[in-house]
Amino acid sequence: MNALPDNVKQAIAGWLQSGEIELFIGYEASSLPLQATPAFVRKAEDLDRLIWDATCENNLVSFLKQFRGKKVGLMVKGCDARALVGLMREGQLVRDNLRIVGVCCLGVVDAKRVAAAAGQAVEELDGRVTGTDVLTADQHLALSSVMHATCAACRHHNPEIYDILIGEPVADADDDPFDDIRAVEALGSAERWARFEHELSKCNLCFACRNVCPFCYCNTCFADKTMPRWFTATAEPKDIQFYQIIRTFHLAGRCVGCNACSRACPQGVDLRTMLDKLRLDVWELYQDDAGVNPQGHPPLTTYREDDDNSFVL
Amino acid sequence: MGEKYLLTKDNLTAWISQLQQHGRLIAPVMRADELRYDYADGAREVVLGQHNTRRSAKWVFFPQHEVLLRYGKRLDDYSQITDTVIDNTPQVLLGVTPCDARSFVMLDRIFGQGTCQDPYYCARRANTLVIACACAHPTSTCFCNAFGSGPADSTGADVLLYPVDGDYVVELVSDAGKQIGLDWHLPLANEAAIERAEAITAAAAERLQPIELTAGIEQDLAGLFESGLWREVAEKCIACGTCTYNCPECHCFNIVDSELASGGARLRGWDACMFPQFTAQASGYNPRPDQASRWRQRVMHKFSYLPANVGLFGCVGCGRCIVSCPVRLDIRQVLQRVHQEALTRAAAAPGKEG
Repeated sequence: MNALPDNVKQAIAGWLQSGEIELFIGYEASSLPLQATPAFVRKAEDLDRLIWDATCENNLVSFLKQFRGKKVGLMVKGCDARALVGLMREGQLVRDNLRIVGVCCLGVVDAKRVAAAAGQAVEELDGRVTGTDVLTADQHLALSSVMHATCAACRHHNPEIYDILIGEPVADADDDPFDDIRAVEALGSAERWARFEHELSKCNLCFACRNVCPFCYCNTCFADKTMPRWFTATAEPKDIQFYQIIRTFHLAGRCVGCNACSRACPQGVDLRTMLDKLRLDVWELYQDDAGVNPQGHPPLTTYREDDDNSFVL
Repeated sequence: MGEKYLLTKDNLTAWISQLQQHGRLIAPVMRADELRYDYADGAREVVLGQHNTRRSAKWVFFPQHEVLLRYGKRLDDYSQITDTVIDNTPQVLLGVTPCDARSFVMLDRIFGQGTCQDPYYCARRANTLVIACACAHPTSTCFCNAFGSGPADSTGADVLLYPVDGDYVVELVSDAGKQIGLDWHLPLANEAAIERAEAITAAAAERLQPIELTAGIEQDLAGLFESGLWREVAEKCIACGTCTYNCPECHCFNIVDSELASGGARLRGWDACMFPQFTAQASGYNPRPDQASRWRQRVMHKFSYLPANVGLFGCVGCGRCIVSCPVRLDIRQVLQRVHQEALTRAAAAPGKEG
């Protein structure tokens, strides 16, 4: 567990004291091993609580929904910064209102994987992180072997935007980030459906995926509307599948692949495969990547004469 | 405490088959990569004596959703109510932890007693034998000891099993348990086995961190309705329903009519005080407009209103909400904050001495 570097703490303290921001959102240790928790700091003297290491899995950009129009500072990993960029492109954030501490990230720990390796319950682990090593009572694990599956697919380790950076930029692999998605595409429809059914059988409709998604910012989600009622939240597979399909499609061309949803899911549902399939489709159809350019428009809100229309019957 | 019997590992499979003769078996099983309480085919599937499942067993009596009644095309014509579904199937719920078994006592106060009894709940409860398994593996998030409970608490169970190196010492707790226990023809447990069973649960109790959360909590909360601490506590809450869904004691529900061309069904399903829509009124007004007021409700309900209204806390200390929270909001820390805040206020109150 690493306290923030002094120069970063000084910068944040300066922002808070000058009124450039009223709040800084970072991470602090939680009561559970290998999992940090979001921390909200309003006074410079509280900055000593904050940490940055591979246990900081939440995407703090999600919290900006609560602070619209406010001047806020926050920590972002590469994936989280893409969410900032995507939200700016959708006109949801004003860059001047933000003070951003970027962190170069090599992946965040999936405590459940460490627990599986140690043969213990997550809450029983005696674990800590130093750099890219995850140490348990009697094991020394490489971060790459116990990080979230979402991090293995990451090709954006460094934040696109920041005011101050922690760490040295990391080289992003130049290979195809979608190779596992293409493998799923290559399966037959029966196999894909079986896989989809299996994953969603874990879902209990707690809506954590929606609530942590930076892009699920509708004032009232379709799933919550009662006039008209689109959706009845039973635990039946048809309702769970309906909700997840609609949520996924609402993110087409907008999802930046931060995978906050997959990491937040208390049931361990693999949401990434569905969302990355859509990201792959958007890339192949429109050559658009939602988390790169704060200018311009999401592809599904614009029309070009040369847009692909091969799917029109 | 009555006689105790011995169930050896060699007899376990046959005994579980016997249970299946008695009723539909529900037990901890692996489903979609998760240890959870579910209908079990037989002994082969049952996983006994593990630490807590991620989700509680409350669905056995209070399912995540259920059909209360079906109706024809016209909702206003009561002659068209076609089916009122009361499930009287005999069931055996095997292998719940003592904290889960204890939670049923509180659910009984809500759904099963007094002037307003829920026929759906009562039918399932009356037809289900609860066989708990004493807890040999409490984890760092367990705090049943804060409620005067512990790894060998038999409250709410008909039968309690004590794990003893693969065998089980069997205690018949309730009248229903004593009655069915006669059919099992188990030998009496010898003193060595009973001592070993007690040693194992005593060692488990030792592993629980000493924690004082509930002494005076109702008085502490009494002055904190308007406190700013709820805003601080709730700031990182993402308003998902995980804590309430996984909680064995949370029992709030919503009733909706699901209408199809062929007719409709009146459904009851879990709802959660963490959801903004939970208190939304038809006028558009929401008396709990922010997550701070929702968290206040969560804590007040469990630790003030329920003790006042039914004489029991709305929490058994199973720790599921802590482990499953996507932002790791820890209710133990919230209760400690409540206590500190009450102390601070008491110290600052005028007219108090020392």
